[in-house]
Amino acid sequence: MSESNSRPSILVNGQISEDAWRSVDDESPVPSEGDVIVSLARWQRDRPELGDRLGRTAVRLDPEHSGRELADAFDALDMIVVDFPKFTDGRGYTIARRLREQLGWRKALRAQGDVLPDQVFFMQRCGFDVLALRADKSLETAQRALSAFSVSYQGAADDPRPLYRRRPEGVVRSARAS
Amino acid sequence: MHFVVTASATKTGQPVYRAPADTWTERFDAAQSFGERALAEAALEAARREEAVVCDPYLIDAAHAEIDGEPRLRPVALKEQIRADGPTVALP
Amino acid sequence: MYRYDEHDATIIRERVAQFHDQVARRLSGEISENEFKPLRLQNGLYMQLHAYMLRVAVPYGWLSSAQLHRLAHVARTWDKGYGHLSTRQNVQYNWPALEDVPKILAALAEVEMHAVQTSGNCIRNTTSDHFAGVAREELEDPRPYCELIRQWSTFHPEFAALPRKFKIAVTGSPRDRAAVQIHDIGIRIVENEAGERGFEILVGGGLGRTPRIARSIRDFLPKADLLSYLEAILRVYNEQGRRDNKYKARIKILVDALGVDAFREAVEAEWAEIKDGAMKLTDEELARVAKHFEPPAYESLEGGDALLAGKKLSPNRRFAAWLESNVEPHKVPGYAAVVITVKSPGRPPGDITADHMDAVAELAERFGFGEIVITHRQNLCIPDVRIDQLEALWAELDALALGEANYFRATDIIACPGLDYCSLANARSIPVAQRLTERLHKLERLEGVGELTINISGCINACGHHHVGNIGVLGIDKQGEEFYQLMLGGSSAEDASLGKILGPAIPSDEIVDAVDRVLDAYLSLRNDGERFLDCVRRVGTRSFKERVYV
Ligand code: SF4
Repeated sequence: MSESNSRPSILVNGQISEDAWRSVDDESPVPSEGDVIVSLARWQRDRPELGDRLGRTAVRLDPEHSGRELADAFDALDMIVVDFPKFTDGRGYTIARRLREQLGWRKALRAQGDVLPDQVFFMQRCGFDVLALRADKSLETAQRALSAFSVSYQGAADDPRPLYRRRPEGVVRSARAS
Repeated sequence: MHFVVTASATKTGQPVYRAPADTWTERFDAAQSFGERALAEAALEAARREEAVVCDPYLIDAAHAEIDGEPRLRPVALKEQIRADGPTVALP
Repeated sequence: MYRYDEHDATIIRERVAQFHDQVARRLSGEISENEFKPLRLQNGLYMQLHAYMLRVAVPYGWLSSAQLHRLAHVARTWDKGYGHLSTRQNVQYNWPALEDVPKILAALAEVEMHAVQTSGNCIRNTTSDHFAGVAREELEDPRPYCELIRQWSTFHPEFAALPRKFKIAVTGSPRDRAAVQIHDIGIRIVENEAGERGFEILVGGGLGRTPRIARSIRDFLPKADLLSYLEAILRVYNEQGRRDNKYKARIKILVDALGVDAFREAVEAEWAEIKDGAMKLTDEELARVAKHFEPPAYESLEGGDALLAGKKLSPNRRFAAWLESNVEPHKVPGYAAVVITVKSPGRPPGDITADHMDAVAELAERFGFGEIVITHRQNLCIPDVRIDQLEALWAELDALALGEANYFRATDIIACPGLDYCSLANARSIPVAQRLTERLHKLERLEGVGELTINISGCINACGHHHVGNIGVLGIDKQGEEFYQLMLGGSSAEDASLGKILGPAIPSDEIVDAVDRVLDAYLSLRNDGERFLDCVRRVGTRSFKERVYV
C-alpha cells in the first residue's frame, strides 16, 4: 500500500474531517480491517472475500461506468467513490445523479481525483457528500464554494424539485422581506 | 532565425514579451531575442513559472526585416505581427 | 420581455460574487491559468490576440432600452467605446482588463444581465427568431420556451463539464430565422393532428470541421415534457460524447457514430426514467413565464399593408429601398418590424459604437415599446414600429448612418473576428468584408442582386457560418499567405443546406473580384425573379465555376 493514499483531510457534508479511507490497488492484498476503496474490477473479481472483512468497503467507479454496475451490491457496500481523472470530464456528475436519483443509493458518495473547489457546488448538488479534494487545494476555499448559490433553478439529487415546484408564494415573500 | 518568448499578461490579456533580466515588456522592440533554440527553451521554462503574472507562454519565430532603412526584429508569422501591432482595421 | 424575480436576481448577484472571488484567486496565483480557463470561459471570458474578450449574454437576443444603454456605458467605461454583435445574438467586448470584469458584471447585474455560460463546454445562451412575437406567419411566440430553457440550463449541476459546447435554438415560425438546423438541438414549435401545440426536436446540427444539418428525433413532444426531454438528450451526450478529441466531441459526431435511430433510442430510454418526475412543466409555470411576453399595448390602426405598399412608391429611392429590404410585415395591423443594419462601408460587420447603442435605445423608446433585438445576422431590430412613423424613424437612422438598405443584401455580411482578434484564425475576415462592402454597396448593385447572404470565417471553426452563406468565404493559410475558399449554395433557413466549394482557394487580393464575378454570373444565369440561392441550386456550381475562374 502506498503512502499517497493517506490524505489528511476531506470534506464530509461540508465539514473538514480526517480521511479514514485508503485505496487498495488491484494486486495488493486487502487488509482484513480498516476502511478500503477498491476498483470495480477488483470488486467484481473478489466480491466474496471483500464481503467478509471487518472494516468498511467502498468501490470506485471511473468515468466510463454508469453506476448501474453496482445496483445489486448496495447492501454490501458502505460507500461508492466516483473518480474524476480530469476536472473537465463531467461524466461523474451523471453517474452521481443516477446513483442517487434513479438507483436509490443512500449511503456515502465520494468524489475524488481532480476535485477542485470550483466544482464542489455542482458535485454536492449531484449527490456527493464526501469530497476528497486534490491534495494541493484549499479545503477552506472549497467549503466557501459549497454555499456559492442559495437558489438553484433545477432539481437535482439535493432536491428533485425544480424551482417552479418550490415556488410557493411564501418563499417569494420571505425572500423579498430579507 | 531568432526566438522570442511571449505570453498574455494576466491582468490585461495584452501580449507581452520576455525582456532581459527576467522582466516582461509590451513592446516587441524591447524583447529579448535568442539565436539558439535551447536558450529560448530555457527562458520559456523560466517564464512558465510566472503564471500568476502571465498566461500560457510560448515561443515565436522572429527575423530581421528592413523597416525605414533599419534592420529591425519582427515576428515572422502574420498572426504574431498583428498581435504585436494591433488589429489591421480601424476600430469603430 | 422577461423581468427577474427575487430568485433570478439572487442567482445573478451570487454569480457576480463568485466570479469576483475566482478572479481574485487567479490574480493572487492561488489558481493556475489552466484551472481558471474553464471558470472564466463559463463566464464568457476568452483570451484573444490583444486582450481578453468578454461575451455578455443577451437571452434570445432580447434587450430593453435600459439594457442597451447599459451596454453602451460598459463599452465607454471599461472598453474602447464599442461592442460587437455576435451571430448568437450576444454582445462582445474586445478589450476588458481582468480586474474590471467583476465590475462590469456588477454593472450588468443591475439591469438583469450577465455573462453566464456564454462560452465553455456547457449549455450556451439559447437563441431564437428576432421577429419572435411579431412575425406574421408565426405559430407561437418561442420566447417563453427560450426562457424556460435559460433557467433550466443556468448552472445546471450535471452539465457544466460537457465534452464540448452545446447550443440550442428555438423557432415558433415556419420561416426559420434562428438557424435551428445548425444547432446541437433545434426546436420547432409545431401542431399535431389533434391541433395541440408541442415541439419537433432536431439534434446534431453544427458547422466547424464536420458541418451537419440537424436530424429530427421526435416529431411531436408535448410542451410539459420540454425540459425532461432536453435533460435526457444532454445526459446521453454527457456520458457518450467523445472526450478524446475535441474535434470529434460535438453531439453531431455522436449522432453520426450511433446512427440517428440508436441515438433516439438511447434518449427515449433515459427519458422514460424521468419524464413523469418533478421536471414536468406545470401549467402555472408555463403561464407564469408566458405572461412576461404578453403583447405590448398596440393601438388599433388603419391602413396597414396598403399604407406600407404606398410608402414603397416614395420618390426617395433610398427610403423606398430600405422599406423593401429592412422592414418586415407584422402580426398587428399598422405595425412593422424594422431591422437596423450596422453594416456599411468602413465598418467592421457587427461592430457598434457606444453612441450608436445609446441612439438606437432612444429610438426604440420613441418609435417602439423600448425593446431591441439582436439578430443572428449581427444587426439590431426594433420589433414594433407604426407604419405611419417609418419615414420619421428612417430619417433619424439615416442621419446616424444607420439607415442602410441592406438587410439580407450582399453587404449584410456576417464576418467572424478573424485574424485581427482571434488566436485560432488562419486569415483575416473583417478586411475582406470591408473590401467587399466597398465594392458592392451601391444601391443599384444591391437591388440588382437582391436577396443574398455572404458569410466569412477566418478558419475552419466556422464562427462566420461560411458553410451556410449563399456565398461562403473561408480563410486559409497557404505558407503564410492569406487565401480564401469560395462556397456557393449554403443556407441556414428552413431550406438549410451546406455550400459547395467552387474551386481552388483564391489569394486575398483577388477575392473581391471573384465574388463580383459570382454575382455577374448569377445575373446572367438567373430566371426572372429567381433568388441567388435558387439559381445556384438549379444550375449547379459548375456554371458558376466557369465564369469565376477565368
Ligand atoms: S472562425 Fe476561426 S478565426 Fe473566426 S472567430 Fe472562429 S475560431 Fe476565430
